Amino acid sequence: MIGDHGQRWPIDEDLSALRERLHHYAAQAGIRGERLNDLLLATNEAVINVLEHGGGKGTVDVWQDETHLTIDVTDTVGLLTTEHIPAKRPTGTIRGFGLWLMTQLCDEFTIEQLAEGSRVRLRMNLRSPAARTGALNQEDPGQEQVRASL
Amino acid sequence: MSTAVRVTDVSDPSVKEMVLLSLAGELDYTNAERFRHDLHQVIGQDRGDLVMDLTDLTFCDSTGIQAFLNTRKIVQDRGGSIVLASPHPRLKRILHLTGLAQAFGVQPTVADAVRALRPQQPAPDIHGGGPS
Repeated sequence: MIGDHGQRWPIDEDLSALRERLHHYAAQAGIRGERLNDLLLATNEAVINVLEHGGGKGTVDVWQDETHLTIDVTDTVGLLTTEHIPAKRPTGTIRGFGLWLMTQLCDEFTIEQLAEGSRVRLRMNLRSPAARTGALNQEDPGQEQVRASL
Repeated sequence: MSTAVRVTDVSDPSVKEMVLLSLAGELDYTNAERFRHDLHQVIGQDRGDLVMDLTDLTFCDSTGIQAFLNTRKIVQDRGGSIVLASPHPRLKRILHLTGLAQAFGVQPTVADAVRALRPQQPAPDIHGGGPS
């Protein structure tokens, strides 16, 4: 899966170092501005899931081809499935926000169950107009009020 | 583990019953609990309002947002209000996507945040947005 330009990083609690490595990798792949920030946040959320619910261990694989930068975040317990993805933005609770954010932040977001565990795949298109300008066509998640009980 | 977020009390004594905190660093899953602890140490049992200057908080994930929500509840349970000032674009983005921008009073500068809470108060001698 990992091509000549790919890298594999073990998951640990040093999220800051992970974000820095990913920032460097994605920037050299041509991702800039808000899309770069979005990718950092989405990957961070995927790794948090592994630390909190996915056994605490796993890997981050990152590589690029002609059209995409791809990040695979794989855990060791394999409990995460597509059924965990909220169909709409969670309200009244913070739980589920991480998965919701991943659906909003990347061009592609998929979950697959493999022999070694659950794999979250995050992809950014390197050739879209948004990729060239660094601007993302933001989908407005709606204006409904968050309940005061939060 | 990420370096602890620095929480600095920069309250202006001329503004009564308002704690002004400056946050600096990257808030994530690995230091959110420490942040919550440090924050509660600083705000203690004080009643009143809380303004957090986020100019130098360069990253915040969903667990960081959870810490903000907990703090918001504590402040509101004591009858106060909480306002976030000068959020970094990354923080603005997560507040927007989670729909929580409305749950917090978000203001572009610290001066705007103080004005929003104390419309009658003369403008305090604080800088809106610069590092402190």
